[in-house]
Amino acid sequence: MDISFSAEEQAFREEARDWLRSNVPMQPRPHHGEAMVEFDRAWQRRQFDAGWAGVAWPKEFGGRGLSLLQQLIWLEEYASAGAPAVGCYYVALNHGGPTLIALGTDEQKAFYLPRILSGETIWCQGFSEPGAGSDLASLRMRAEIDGDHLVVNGQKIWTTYAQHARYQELLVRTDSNGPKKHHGITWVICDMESPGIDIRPIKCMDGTEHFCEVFYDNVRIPLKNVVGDINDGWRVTMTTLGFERGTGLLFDQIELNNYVEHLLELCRNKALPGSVGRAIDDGELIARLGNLKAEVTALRAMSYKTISTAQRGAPGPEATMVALYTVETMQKAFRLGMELQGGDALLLPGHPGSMQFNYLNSFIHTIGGGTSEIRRNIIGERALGLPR
Amino acid sequence: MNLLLSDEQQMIADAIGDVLLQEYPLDRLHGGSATMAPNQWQQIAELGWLGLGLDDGVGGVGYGLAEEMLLCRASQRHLLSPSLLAAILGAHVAAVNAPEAVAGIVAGETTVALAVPRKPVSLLEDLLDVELLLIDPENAEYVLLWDTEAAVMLSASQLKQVAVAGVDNSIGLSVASGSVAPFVRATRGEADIYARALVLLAAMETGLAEGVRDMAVDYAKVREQFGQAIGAFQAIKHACADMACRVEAADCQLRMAVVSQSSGETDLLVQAAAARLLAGEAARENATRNIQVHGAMGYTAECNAHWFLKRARLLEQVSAPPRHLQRHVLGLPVGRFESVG
Repeated sequence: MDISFSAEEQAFREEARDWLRSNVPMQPRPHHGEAMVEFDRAWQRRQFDAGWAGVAWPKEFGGRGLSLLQQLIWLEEYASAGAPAVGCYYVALNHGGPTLIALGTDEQKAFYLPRILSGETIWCQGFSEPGAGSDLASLRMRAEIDGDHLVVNGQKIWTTYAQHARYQELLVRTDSNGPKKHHGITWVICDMESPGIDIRPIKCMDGTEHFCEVFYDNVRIPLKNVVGDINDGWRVTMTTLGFERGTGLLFDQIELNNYVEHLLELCRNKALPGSVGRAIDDGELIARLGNLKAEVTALRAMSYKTISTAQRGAPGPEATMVALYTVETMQKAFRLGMELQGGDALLLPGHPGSMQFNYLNSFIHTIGGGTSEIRRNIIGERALGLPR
Repeated sequence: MNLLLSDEQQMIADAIGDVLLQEYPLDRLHGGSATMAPNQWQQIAELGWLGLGLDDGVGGVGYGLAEEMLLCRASQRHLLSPSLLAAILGAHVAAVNAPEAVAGIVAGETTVALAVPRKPVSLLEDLLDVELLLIDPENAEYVLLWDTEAAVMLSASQLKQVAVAGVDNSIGLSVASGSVAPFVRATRGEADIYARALVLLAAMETGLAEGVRDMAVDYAKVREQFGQAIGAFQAIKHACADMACRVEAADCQLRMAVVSQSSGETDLLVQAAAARLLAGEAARENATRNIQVHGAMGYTAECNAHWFLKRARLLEQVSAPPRHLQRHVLGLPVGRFESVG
C-alpha cells in the first residue's frame, strides 16, 4: 500500500493544473436549453484544440491515451479547478465512443470518433422503454430488416438530451423468438435527424427538460450502422458497461467534498432554524456533518482502491458498491444542505448549482444508470453470491 | 498510488488468518472465554504478533502500522481479547520511556489491559486520580489508557479492583480506582498513540464487520423459508449488500489512514478519525443486522451472533467517542480536559 505518485506523475499533475487554471470557463454552466448546449460545446472544443479531449481514449483514435493513474490525476485537477461536468457529451465520450473503439468497424470509427472528440456531435442513449426499465433486456421495440436497412417502429423513454443529440446508441429487438430475452437485441447507431423520429421532452421535478420520450415511425437505419452483429446487442451493451475502472465517479466525489466544506463554512456563519446560536455549536448538526464528511472522505479511498484493482485487471463488483455509496451519500449531503437553510430553502434561485436545485436534482442519482435497488441486487448476487 | 496489499503483506495476512482459524474458533466461547491463557500469549508472541510494528532496534519485528492493522482486523473476526491491542500499544508506550518493559510485553509474559475512564482525568498530571473499567483484567500487570495528549501505563497492583459482570461476557470486567503515579508515560510529541489507536481500533471494527457480513451471507444461502433460500429475498439480500458496502467503505478508508501515516501526511488525524467513524458504524450496524438475518436463532446464546454485537459495543467505548471523531474529521477542536483514553 502506497499513496505516493511518481515524479513523472507529479509533473503530469502540474501540466494538467496549469492548463486547467488558464482555460476553465469562469461562468457557471447553464443547466438547460440551448445555452447549456452551447456552453458544453465551447468547453469540449477548447479541450479538443489543446489535446485534452478524450483523455481516456487511445491515441490512435485521437484521444490522449492516459494511463489510469494519469486519468485519476487529470480528474482530480479537473474537479479542483472547478471545471464543468462532462454534461451533454457524457454518452458520446463515455459510452458510444468507447463502444465503437472496442467493437466498431474501421469505417464507423473513422466517421464518428473524430466528430465526438471535437464536440461536433452529441450522442444520446436509447435503451429504456416504457415496459423495460430496470429489466432492460425485456425491451420490445421492433426493427425489421428491409434490404440493407433496419426499419424501426416503437418508443424509447428517459432518453437524456435526445432533443440536443445528433446520434443515438439504440437498442432494438430484431428477434423475438430467441431462447432468452437477452438474445435478439441489436445495438445500432441512429441518426436523430432521420425522418419518422418524434422527440417529446419530459419536464422533470427540477424544472429542466433533462430527458425525453422518443417515438419511431418507420425510421430507416442503414445496416452498416449496426455495431457488433445483428442479435448480438446485449454483449455489445455489456462491453460498454464493463468499461468502469474506478474513475467514473471521481468528479462527483470531489464536487461533493467541496459541497460538504461549503456546508461547514455555512455552519460557521449561520444560525440554525429556530435558534439564535451558530450552527457550528449545535452538537447534533456537527455529528451529522462529521459523519457525512467521513463518508465523503471514504469515497476517495474507495475510488483509489478500485483504480488500484483495475490496474491489475478488471475490477470486480466493488465498483457497484462505490457507485451505490456515492449516490446515497450525495442525497444525504443535499438533504442536509436544504435543512441548514431554514426558511430560505423555500426559494428557488435562478442560477444553477444552488443548494435547492442540487437537492431536487439529486433524486436522479439513485434512479438513473441503475437504481439503488438494482445495484443492491448486483452486490448481493455478484459480490456475495446470494441466490437470484 | 496503490491501495492493494503488497505480496508480503498478503502473506502476513494469510498466515495470521490461518493461525486464528486453527486456534481460535468462535465455538471456544461456548462455556469458555476469550481471555487468553499464558501459553496462548506466548504462542502469538513467538509468531511476532505483539511487536509486529515496533522497530527492531527496541525489540520489535520492524514492520509498521500496515501489518499491525492486518493483525487487528483479523483478530476481531475471531473475537480475540482486546488485550491484544493493549499489548501492541503498550509496547510502543514502553519503548519511549521504559525500554526495560518492552521485552516482557512483546514476549507475551507481561499482559496489559485496556481501561475505560468512568470520570475525566488529565493524563499529564504527576499523580492520576482514576476510576476505571478494566477490560479483560485477569492476570494483567499493566493498565493502558490514553487521550489526545498522552498515553500512560499504570501498575494494576496499585489499583483497587472489584470484578463486575459485563455486557460482553466473553471476557472479564472490573471496576478499578486509585490515586497513582504512572509506571510510564509517553506524550503526544514522543509517540502518537492516539492516532495509532484510532487506526487499530478501526481495523478491529472493520474485521468484526467483515466477520458478521460473512456470517449473515452464509446463513442467508442455506436457511430456507417459503421454499427458497432467504438470501433470494430482496429484504435479506439488500440488508447483506448494505453490510458489504459498510465494510468496503471502512476498509478502503482504513487503508487510506494507514498510508497517510506511513507517508507522513499532515491529515493523518482526519483520515484515521474518518476510518474509525465508518468502522464503528459498520461493526455496530452489521452486528445488529446479522442478528435480524438469523431470526429467532440470532437471539439465542447458542448462536455466535450476539458475541459480535457485544464486542462492537465494547470497542465503541474504547478511546475517542463518535462525537470527538466527528469533530476531528471536520477539523474542529475537541474540549481539552475530556479524557478519551
